[in-house]
Amino acid sequence: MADCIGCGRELTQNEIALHKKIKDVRDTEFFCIHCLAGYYKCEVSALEEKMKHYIFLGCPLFEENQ
Amino acid sequence: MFVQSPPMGFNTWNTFMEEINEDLIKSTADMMVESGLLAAGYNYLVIDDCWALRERDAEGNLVADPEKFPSGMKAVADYVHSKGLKFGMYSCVGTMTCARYPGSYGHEYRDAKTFADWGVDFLKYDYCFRPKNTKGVDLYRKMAIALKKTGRDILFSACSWGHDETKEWIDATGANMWRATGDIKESWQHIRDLARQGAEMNFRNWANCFADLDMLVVGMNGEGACSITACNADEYRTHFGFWAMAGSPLMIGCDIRKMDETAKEILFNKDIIAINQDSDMNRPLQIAASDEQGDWNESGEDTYTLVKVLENGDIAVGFFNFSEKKMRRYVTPSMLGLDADMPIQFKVKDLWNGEYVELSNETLFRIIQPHCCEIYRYEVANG
Repeated sequence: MADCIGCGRELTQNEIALHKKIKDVRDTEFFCIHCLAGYYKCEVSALEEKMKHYIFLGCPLFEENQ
Repeated sequence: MFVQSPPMGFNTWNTFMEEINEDLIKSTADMMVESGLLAAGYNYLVIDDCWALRERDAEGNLVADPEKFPSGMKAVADYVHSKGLKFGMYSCVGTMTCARYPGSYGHEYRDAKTFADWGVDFLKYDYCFRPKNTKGVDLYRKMAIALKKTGRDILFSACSWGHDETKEWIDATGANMWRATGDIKESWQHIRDLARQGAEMNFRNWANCFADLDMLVVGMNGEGACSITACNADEYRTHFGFWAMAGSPLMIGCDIRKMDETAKEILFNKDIIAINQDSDMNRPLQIAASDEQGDWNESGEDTYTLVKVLENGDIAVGFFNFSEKKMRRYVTPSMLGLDADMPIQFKVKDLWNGEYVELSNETLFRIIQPHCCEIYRYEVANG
Protein backbone atom coordinates (compact mmCIF):
# COMPACT_ATOMS: atom_id res chain seq x y z
CA MET A 1 0.00 0.00 0.00
CA ALA A 2 1.23 3.54 -0.74
CA ASP A 3 2.46 6.15 1.74
CA CYS A 4 0.93 9.57 2.32
CA ILE A 5 2.69 12.27 0.27
CA GLY A 6 2.11 14.69 3.11
CA CYS A 7 3.28 12.87 6.26
CA GLY A 8 4.67 9.55 4.96
CA ARG A 9 2.25 7.41 6.92
CA GLU A 10 1.15 4.15 5.30
CA LEU A 11 -2.26 4.61 3.73
CA THR A 12 -5.32 2.41 3.98
CA GLN A 13 -7.23 1.46 0.86
CA ASN A 14 -10.13 3.61 1.97
CA GLU A 15 -7.86 6.64 2.40
CA ILE A 16 -6.62 6.20 -1.14
CA ALA A 17 -10.23 5.85 -2.28
CA LEU A 18 -11.24 9.00 -0.41
CA HIS A 19 -8.39 10.97 -1.96
CA LYS A 20 -9.40 9.82 -5.42
CA LYS A 21 -13.06 10.55 -4.80
CA ILE A 22 -12.59 13.96 -3.20
CA LYS A 23 -9.58 15.30 -5.08
CA ASP A 24 -8.98 13.60 -8.42
CA VAL A 25 -9.38 10.00 -9.46
CA ARG A 26 -6.43 10.43 -11.83
CA ASP A 27 -3.97 11.22 -9.04
CA THR A 28 -1.25 8.61 -8.53
CA GLU A 29 0.00 9.94 -5.20
CA PHE A 30 -2.31 10.39 -2.24
CA PHE A 31 -2.88 12.14 1.06
CA CYS A 32 -3.97 10.44 4.26
CA ILE A 33 -7.25 11.67 5.67
CA HIS A 34 -5.49 14.08 8.03
CA CYS A 35 -3.36 15.65 5.32
CA LEU A 36 -6.35 15.74 2.98
CA ALA A 37 -8.25 17.66 5.65
CA GLY A 38 -5.29 20.03 5.87
CA TYR A 39 -5.28 20.52 2.10
CA TYR A 40 -8.95 21.43 2.07
CA LYS A 41 -8.78 23.31 5.39
CA CYS A 42 -11.61 21.28 6.85
CA GLU A 43 -12.11 18.96 9.84
CA VAL A 44 -11.14 15.29 9.62
CA SER A 45 -14.63 14.46 10.87
CA ALA A 46 -16.11 16.15 7.79
CA LEU A 47 -14.08 13.88 5.53
CA GLU A 48 -14.97 10.84 7.64
CA GLU A 49 -18.64 11.69 7.03
CA LYS A 50 -17.96 11.97 3.31
CA MET A 51 -16.29 8.57 3.34
CA LYS A 52 -19.26 6.98 5.07
CA HIS A 53 -21.58 8.59 2.52
CA TYR A 54 -19.60 7.33 -0.47
CA ILE A 55 -19.50 3.82 0.99
CA PHE A 56 -23.26 4.00 1.54
CA LEU A 57 -23.77 5.10 -2.08
CA GLY A 58 -21.83 2.06 -3.25
CA CYS A 59 -18.73 3.70 -4.66
CA PRO A 60 -16.55 0.80 -5.88
CA LEU A 61 -13.32 2.53 -4.88
CA PHE A 62 -13.92 1.70 -1.21
CA GLU A 63 -13.04 -1.61 0.43
CA GLU A 64 -16.58 -2.30 1.64
CA ASN A 65 -17.93 -2.20 -1.91
CA GLN A 66 -15.39 -4.49 -3.58
CA MET B 1 -30.52 19.73 -32.74
CA PHE B 2 -27.86 22.43 -32.76
CA VAL B 3 -27.05 23.88 -29.36
CA GLN B 4 -26.20 27.52 -29.98
CA SER B 5 -24.81 28.51 -26.60
CA PRO B 6 -23.62 26.90 -23.36
CA PRO B 7 -26.60 25.32 -21.63
CA MET B 8 -27.83 26.89 -18.41
CA GLY B 9 -29.95 25.40 -15.67
CA PHE B 10 -29.96 23.45 -12.43
CA ASN B 11 -28.80 19.97 -11.45
CA THR B 12 -29.74 18.09 -8.27
CA TRP B 13 -26.39 16.39 -7.52
CA ASN B 14 -24.24 18.97 -5.75
CA THR B 15 -26.74 19.60 -2.98
CA PHE B 16 -29.03 16.60 -2.87
CA MET B 17 -27.17 13.56 -4.28
CA GLU B 18 -29.51 10.63 -3.53
CA GLU B 19 -32.00 12.68 -1.46
CA ILE B 20 -34.24 13.51 -4.40
CA ASN B 21 -37.98 13.21 -4.87
CA GLU B 22 -40.92 14.55 -6.79
CA ASP B 23 -41.68 17.33 -4.32
CA LEU B 24 -38.12 18.61 -4.56
CA ILE B 25 -38.30 18.75 -8.35
CA LYS B 26 -41.66 20.48 -8.40
CA SER B 27 -40.69 23.06 -5.78
CA THR B 28 -37.41 23.67 -7.58
CA ALA B 29 -39.28 24.16 -10.85
CA ASP B 30 -41.61 26.63 -9.13
CA MET B 31 -38.67 28.57 -7.71
CA MET B 32 -36.76 28.64 -11.00
CA VAL B 33 -39.69 30.56 -12.44
CA GLU B 34 -40.63 32.69 -9.43
CA SER B 35 -37.08 33.79 -8.70
CA GLY B 36 -36.46 34.85 -12.28
CA LEU B 37 -33.84 32.21 -13.00
CA LEU B 38 -35.75 31.02 -16.05
CA ALA B 39 -36.02 34.57 -17.36
CA ALA B 40 -32.27 34.96 -16.80
CA GLY B 41 -31.63 31.95 -19.05
CA TYR B 42 -31.46 29.01 -16.64
CA ASN B 43 -33.97 26.78 -18.41
CA TYR B 44 -32.86 23.17 -17.79
CA LEU B 45 -33.90 21.33 -14.61
CA VAL B 46 -31.84 18.11 -14.44
CA ILE B 47 -32.34 15.13 -12.14
CA ASP B 48 -28.98 13.44 -11.58
CA ASP B 49 -28.25 9.88 -10.36
CA CYS B 50 -30.37 7.86 -7.90
CA TRP B 51 -33.80 8.38 -9.50
CA ALA B 52 -34.34 4.77 -10.64
CA LEU B 53 -35.17 1.46 -9.02
CA ARG B 54 -32.17 -0.85 -8.54
CA GLU B 55 -33.60 -3.34 -11.05
CA ARG B 56 -35.14 -2.94 -14.49
CA ASP B 57 -38.66 -4.27 -15.06
CA ALA B 58 -39.44 -7.61 -16.67
CA GLU B 59 -39.16 -6.10 -20.16
CA GLY B 60 -35.80 -4.54 -19.35
CA ASN B 61 -36.99 -0.95 -18.97
CA LEU B 62 -35.69 1.57 -16.46
CA VAL B 63 -38.24 2.34 -13.77
CA ALA B 64 -38.44 5.50 -11.71
CA ASP B 65 -38.43 4.76 -7.98
CA PRO B 66 -42.14 5.00 -7.04
CA GLU B 67 -41.31 6.01 -3.48
CA LYS B 68 -39.35 9.02 -4.74
CA PHE B 69 -41.51 9.74 -7.79
CA PRO B 70 -45.00 8.36 -7.05
CA SER B 71 -46.58 10.14 -10.00
CA GLY B 72 -44.12 8.64 -12.43
CA MET B 73 -41.44 10.40 -14.42
CA LYS B 74 -43.67 11.50 -17.27
CA ALA B 75 -45.86 13.39 -14.84
CA VAL B 76 -42.77 15.04 -13.35
CA ALA B 77 -41.59 16.01 -16.83
CA ASP B 78 -45.04 17.38 -17.66
CA TYR B 79 -44.98 19.53 -14.54
CA VAL B 80 -41.54 20.89 -15.36
CA HIS B 81 -42.64 21.64 -18.92
CA SER B 82 -45.80 23.37 -17.68
CA LYS B 83 -43.50 25.90 -16.02
CA GLY B 84 -41.76 26.65 -19.29
CA LEU B 85 -38.63 24.72 -18.30
CA LYS B 86 -36.82 21.87 -20.00
CA PHE B 87 -36.43 18.55 -18.20
CA GLY B 88 -33.21 16.59 -17.82
CA MET B 89 -32.27 13.15 -16.55
CA TYR B 90 -29.23 10.97 -16.03
CA SER B 91 -27.79 7.64 -17.04
CA CYS B 92 -24.38 6.10 -17.58
CA VAL B 93 -22.32 4.40 -20.32
CA GLY B 94 -21.61 1.43 -18.06
CA THR B 95 -23.44 -1.52 -16.58
CA MET B 96 -24.24 0.59 -13.52
CA THR B 97 -24.39 4.28 -12.72
CA CYS B 98 -21.84 5.75 -10.32
CA ALA B 99 -24.27 5.13 -7.45
CA ARG B 100 -24.88 1.56 -8.66
CA TYR B 101 -28.27 1.99 -10.28
CA PRO B 102 -28.85 0.34 -13.68
CA GLY B 103 -26.61 1.80 -16.39
CA SER B 104 -27.47 1.96 -20.07
CA TYR B 105 -24.76 -0.34 -21.42
CA GLY B 106 -26.47 -2.74 -23.83
CA HIS B 107 -29.77 -0.88 -23.37
CA GLU B 108 -29.02 2.35 -25.21
CA TYR B 109 -31.91 2.26 -27.67
CA ARG B 110 -34.42 1.07 -25.10
CA ASP B 111 -33.40 3.73 -22.59
CA ALA B 112 -33.31 6.50 -25.18
CA LYS B 113 -36.89 5.61 -26.12
CA THR B 114 -37.89 5.59 -22.45
CA PHE B 115 -36.42 9.05 -21.95
CA ALA B 116 -38.08 10.36 -25.10
CA ASP B 117 -41.45 8.89 -24.09
CA TRP B 118 -41.16 10.63 -20.72
CA GLY B 119 -40.44 13.96 -22.39
CA VAL B 120 -36.78 14.30 -21.48
CA ASP B 121 -34.95 17.24 -23.10
CA PHE B 122 -31.45 16.67 -21.64
CA LEU B 123 -29.51 13.53 -20.78
CA LYS B 124 -26.41 13.59 -18.56
CA TYR B 125 -24.41 10.44 -19.36
CA ASP B 126 -21.78 9.42 -16.83
CA TYR B 127 -18.72 7.19 -17.25
CA CYS B 128 -18.72 4.70 -14.36
CA PHE B 129 -18.58 0.89 -14.71
CA ARG B 130 -17.57 1.02 -18.37
CA PRO B 131 -16.73 -2.54 -19.49
CA LYS B 132 -12.99 -2.94 -19.99
CA ASN B 133 -13.16 -3.89 -23.67
CA THR B 134 -15.14 -0.80 -24.66
CA LYS B 135 -14.15 2.71 -25.71
CA GLY B 136 -15.77 5.90 -24.53
CA VAL B 137 -15.99 7.30 -28.06
CA ASP B 138 -18.06 4.31 -29.19
CA LEU B 139 -20.39 4.32 -26.18
CA TYR B 140 -21.09 8.04 -26.38
CA ARG B 141 -21.65 7.82 -30.13
CA LYS B 142 -24.03 4.91 -29.62
CA MET B 143 -26.23 6.79 -27.18
CA ALA B 144 -26.06 9.96 -29.28
CA ILE B 145 -27.44 8.03 -32.25
CA ALA B 146 -30.06 6.34 -30.08
CA LEU B 147 -31.23 9.71 -28.80
CA LYS B 148 -31.35 11.21 -32.29
CA LYS B 149 -33.38 8.27 -33.57
CA THR B 150 -36.11 8.89 -31.00
CA GLY B 151 -37.09 11.93 -33.04
CA ARG B 152 -37.02 14.12 -29.95
CA ASP B 153 -34.48 16.92 -29.42
CA ILE B 154 -32.52 15.74 -26.39
CA LEU B 155 -29.39 17.66 -25.45
CA PHE B 156 -26.65 15.09 -24.82
CA SER B 157 -24.30 15.86 -21.95
CA ALA B 158 -21.26 13.57 -21.87
CA CYS B 159 -19.69 13.19 -18.44
CA SER B 160 -16.41 11.30 -18.90
CA TRP B 161 -14.44 13.67 -16.59
CA GLY B 162 -11.93 14.36 -19.37
CA HIS B 163 -10.64 10.78 -19.10
CA ASP B 164 -9.19 8.75 -21.97
CA GLU B 165 -8.33 11.95 -23.89
CA THR B 166 -11.99 12.93 -24.21
CA LYS B 167 -11.08 16.21 -25.84
CA GLU B 168 -9.60 14.35 -28.81
CA TRP B 169 -12.80 12.52 -29.78
CA ILE B 170 -15.86 13.96 -28.07
CA ASP B 171 -16.82 16.26 -30.95
CA ALA B 172 -17.03 13.17 -33.15
CA THR B 173 -19.74 11.52 -31.03
CA GLY B 174 -22.77 13.79 -31.20
CA ALA B 175 -22.45 15.04 -27.61
CA ASN B 176 -23.57 18.67 -27.13
CA MET B 177 -21.51 19.24 -24.00
CA TRP B 178 -18.69 17.29 -22.37
CA ARG B 179 -17.06 17.19 -18.98
CA ALA B 180 -13.52 18.40 -19.39
CA THR B 181 -12.56 18.11 -15.73
CA GLY B 182 -12.82 15.96 -12.64
CA ASP B 183 -15.76 16.30 -10.25
CA ILE B 184 -16.34 19.56 -8.44
CA LYS B 185 -16.87 19.81 -4.71
CA GLU B 186 -17.57 23.01 -2.83
CA SER B 187 -14.14 24.14 -1.74
CA TRP B 188 -11.83 26.88 -2.96
CA GLN B 189 -9.17 24.29 -3.78
CA HIS B 190 -11.52 22.42 -6.10
CA ILE B 191 -12.54 25.57 -7.92
CA ARG B 192 -8.88 26.51 -8.33
CA ASP B 193 -7.91 23.00 -9.52
CA LEU B 194 -10.73 22.82 -12.08
CA ALA B 195 -9.81 26.27 -13.37
CA ARG B 196 -6.29 24.96 -13.90
CA GLN B 197 -7.66 22.02 -15.85
CA GLY B 198 -9.69 24.32 -18.04
CA ALA B 199 -6.71 26.57 -18.69
CA GLU B 200 -4.40 23.62 -19.38
CA MET B 201 -6.56 22.54 -22.29
CA ASN B 202 -6.53 26.13 -23.51
CA PHE B 203 -10.30 26.48 -23.13
CA ARG B 204 -10.89 24.14 -26.04
CA ASN B 205 -14.56 24.56 -26.77
CA TRP B 206 -16.90 24.36 -29.74
CA ALA B 207 -20.43 25.49 -30.47
CA ASN B 208 -22.75 22.47 -30.16
CA CYS B 209 -20.08 20.67 -28.11
CA PHE B 210 -19.35 22.84 -25.09
CA ALA B 211 -16.53 22.05 -22.65
CA ASP B 212 -18.08 21.66 -19.20
CA LEU B 213 -15.99 22.61 -16.14
CA ASP B 214 -18.70 20.93 -13.97
CA MET B 215 -21.66 22.30 -12.11
CA LEU B 216 -21.57 25.52 -10.11
CA VAL B 217 -21.18 25.61 -6.33
CA VAL B 218 -22.19 29.28 -6.05
CA GLY B 219 -24.54 29.69 -3.11
CA MET B 220 -23.95 26.34 -1.41
CA ASN B 221 -22.53 28.06 1.68
CA GLY B 222 -21.15 24.85 3.14
CA GLU B 223 -24.44 22.98 2.86
CA GLY B 224 -25.19 20.08 0.58
CA ALA B 225 -23.75 16.68 -0.15
CA CYS B 226 -20.83 17.92 -2.27
CA SER B 227 -19.70 20.64 0.11
CA ILE B 228 -16.34 20.31 1.86
CA THR B 229 -15.72 23.89 2.99
CA ALA B 230 -17.89 26.92 2.32
CA CYS B 231 -16.56 29.53 -0.07
CA ASN B 232 -16.93 33.27 0.41
CA ALA B 233 -18.54 35.81 -1.89
CA ASP B 234 -15.30 36.71 -3.70
CA GLU B 235 -14.55 33.04 -4.33
CA TYR B 236 -18.03 32.42 -5.70
CA ARG B 237 -17.61 35.44 -8.03
CA THR B 238 -14.25 34.18 -9.28
CA HIS B 239 -15.71 30.71 -9.81
CA PHE B 240 -18.72 31.99 -11.75
CA GLY B 241 -16.77 34.58 -13.70
CA PHE B 242 -14.15 32.07 -14.82
CA TRP B 243 -16.76 29.49 -15.83
CA ALA B 244 -18.62 32.20 -17.76
CA MET B 245 -15.53 33.46 -19.61
CA ALA B 246 -14.46 29.90 -20.41
CA GLY B 247 -17.76 29.28 -22.18
CA SER B 248 -18.69 26.47 -19.81
CA PRO B 249 -22.31 25.49 -19.29
CA LEU B 250 -23.72 27.19 -16.20
CA MET B 251 -25.59 24.57 -14.18
CA ILE B 252 -26.52 25.74 -10.71
CA GLY B 253 -25.80 23.27 -7.92
CA CYS B 254 -27.05 25.03 -4.79
CA ASP B 255 -30.56 24.66 -3.35
CA ILE B 256 -32.17 27.48 -5.29
CA ARG B 257 -35.07 27.60 -2.87
CA LYS B 258 -32.56 28.95 -0.34
CA MET B 259 -30.48 31.28 -2.52
CA ASP B 260 -29.07 34.18 -0.52
CA GLU B 261 -28.50 37.69 -1.84
CA THR B 262 -24.87 36.98 -2.73
CA ALA B 263 -25.84 33.97 -4.81
CA LYS B 264 -28.54 35.99 -6.57
CA GLU B 265 -26.15 38.89 -7.26
CA ILE B 266 -23.76 36.48 -8.93
CA LEU B 267 -26.10 34.08 -10.73
CA PHE B 268 -28.30 36.86 -12.11
CA ASN B 269 -25.47 39.06 -13.45
CA LYS B 270 -26.77 39.60 -16.96
CA ASP B 271 -23.58 41.23 -18.22
CA ILE B 272 -21.47 38.21 -17.31
CA ILE B 273 -24.11 35.78 -18.55
CA ALA B 274 -24.01 37.68 -21.86
CA ILE B 275 -20.26 36.98 -22.13
CA ASN B 276 -20.97 33.29 -21.61
CA GLN B 277 -23.85 33.23 -24.07
CA ASP B 278 -22.25 35.38 -26.77
CA SER B 279 -23.30 34.01 -30.12
CA ASP B 280 -19.82 34.04 -31.66
CA MET B 281 -18.64 31.45 -29.12
CA ASN B 282 -15.01 32.50 -29.46
CA ARG B 283 -12.85 30.88 -26.84
CA PRO B 284 -10.94 33.14 -24.47
CA LEU B 285 -7.24 33.60 -24.97
CA GLN B 286 -4.81 33.88 -22.10
CA ILE B 287 -2.53 36.86 -22.50
CA ALA B 288 0.59 37.72 -20.56
CA ALA B 289 -0.12 41.09 -19.01
CA SER B 290 2.08 41.18 -16.00
CA ASP B 291 4.12 43.76 -14.22
CA GLU B 292 6.28 42.29 -11.48
CA GLN B 293 7.35 44.20 -8.40
CA GLY B 294 8.07 43.18 -4.85
CA ASP B 295 5.41 40.99 -3.37
CA TRP B 296 3.20 40.90 -6.42
CA ASN B 297 2.51 37.58 -8.05
CA GLU B 298 5.58 37.34 -10.20
CA SER B 299 5.32 33.84 -11.53
CA GLY B 300 1.76 34.06 -12.83
CA GLU B 301 0.89 30.69 -11.37
CA ASP B 302 -2.85 30.37 -10.82
CA THR B 303 -3.43 33.84 -12.25
CA TYR B 304 -5.10 34.37 -15.60
CA THR B 305 -5.79 37.30 -17.86
CA LEU B 306 -8.38 36.17 -20.37
CA VAL B 307 -9.48 38.05 -23.49
CA LYS B 308 -12.57 37.11 -25.47
CA VAL B 309 -13.78 38.72 -28.69
CA LEU B 310 -17.55 39.13 -28.74
CA GLU B 311 -20.04 38.95 -31.59
CA ASN B 312 -20.50 42.73 -31.99
CA GLY B 313 -16.77 43.52 -31.87
CA ASP B 314 -16.65 44.29 -28.16
CA ILE B 315 -13.97 42.59 -26.08
CA ALA B 316 -14.28 40.94 -22.67
CA VAL B 317 -11.23 41.06 -20.42
CA GLY B 318 -11.11 39.04 -17.21
CA PHE B 319 -8.47 39.06 -14.46
CA PHE B 320 -8.64 35.94 -12.28
CA ASN B 321 -6.48 35.49 -9.21
CA PHE B 322 -6.57 31.94 -7.89
CA SER B 323 -3.26 32.48 -6.08
CA GLU B 324 -2.49 33.55 -2.49
CA LYS B 325 -0.74 36.80 -3.53
CA LYS B 326 -1.97 40.07 -5.02
CA MET B 327 -2.01 40.06 -8.81
CA ARG B 328 -0.98 43.26 -10.57
CA ARG B 329 -1.79 43.51 -14.23
CA TYR B 330 -2.14 46.06 -16.97
CA VAL B 331 -3.73 45.82 -20.38
CA THR B 332 -3.17 48.25 -23.25
CA PRO B 333 -5.40 48.59 -26.32
CA SER B 334 -2.72 47.12 -28.56
CA MET B 335 -2.65 43.99 -26.41
CA LEU B 336 -6.30 43.58 -27.38
CA GLY B 337 -5.78 44.29 -31.08
CA LEU B 338 -7.07 47.85 -30.79
CA ASP B 339 -4.29 49.74 -32.51
CA ALA B 340 -4.04 53.53 -32.51
CA ASP B 341 -4.66 53.72 -36.26
CA MET B 342 -8.11 52.13 -35.96
CA PRO B 343 -11.04 54.55 -36.31
CA ILE B 344 -12.63 53.46 -33.05
CA GLN B 345 -13.27 54.60 -29.55
CA PHE B 346 -14.18 52.54 -26.54
CA LYS B 347 -15.57 52.66 -23.05
CA VAL B 348 -14.67 50.06 -20.41
CA LYS B 349 -17.36 48.70 -18.14
CA ASP B 350 -16.79 46.80 -14.90
CA LEU B 351 -19.25 43.92 -15.23
CA TRP B 352 -19.55 43.23 -11.49
CA ASN B 353 -20.65 46.72 -10.48
CA GLY B 354 -21.89 48.04 -13.84
CA GLU B 355 -19.75 51.18 -13.69
CA TYR B 356 -17.52 52.59 -16.38
CA VAL B 357 -13.87 52.95 -15.43
CA GLU B 358 -11.41 55.73 -16.17
CA LEU B 359 -8.30 54.57 -17.96
CA SER B 360 -4.82 56.03 -17.65
CA ASN B 361 -3.39 56.65 -21.12
CA GLU B 362 -5.95 54.15 -22.38
CA THR B 363 -4.35 51.49 -20.18
CA LEU B 364 -6.28 49.42 -17.67
CA PHE B 365 -4.16 48.98 -14.52
CA ARG B 366 -5.60 46.63 -11.93
CA ILE B 367 -4.58 45.05 -8.65
CA ILE B 368 -6.54 41.86 -8.00
CA GLN B 369 -6.66 40.50 -4.46
CA PRO B 370 -6.17 36.77 -3.80
CA HIS B 371 -9.19 34.64 -4.75
CA CYS B 372 -10.77 37.59 -6.54
CA CYS B 373 -11.62 38.46 -10.12
CA GLU B 374 -12.54 41.49 -12.18
CA ILE B 375 -14.25 41.32 -15.55
CA TYR B 376 -14.55 44.19 -18.00
CA ARG B 377 -16.26 44.75 -21.30
CA TYR B 378 -14.53 47.04 -23.78
CA GLU B 379 -17.49 48.58 -25.60
CA VAL B 380 -15.98 49.39 -28.96
CA ALA B 381 -17.63 51.99 -31.17
CA ASN B 382 -16.72 53.38 -34.56
CA GLY B 383 -14.78 56.61 -34.09
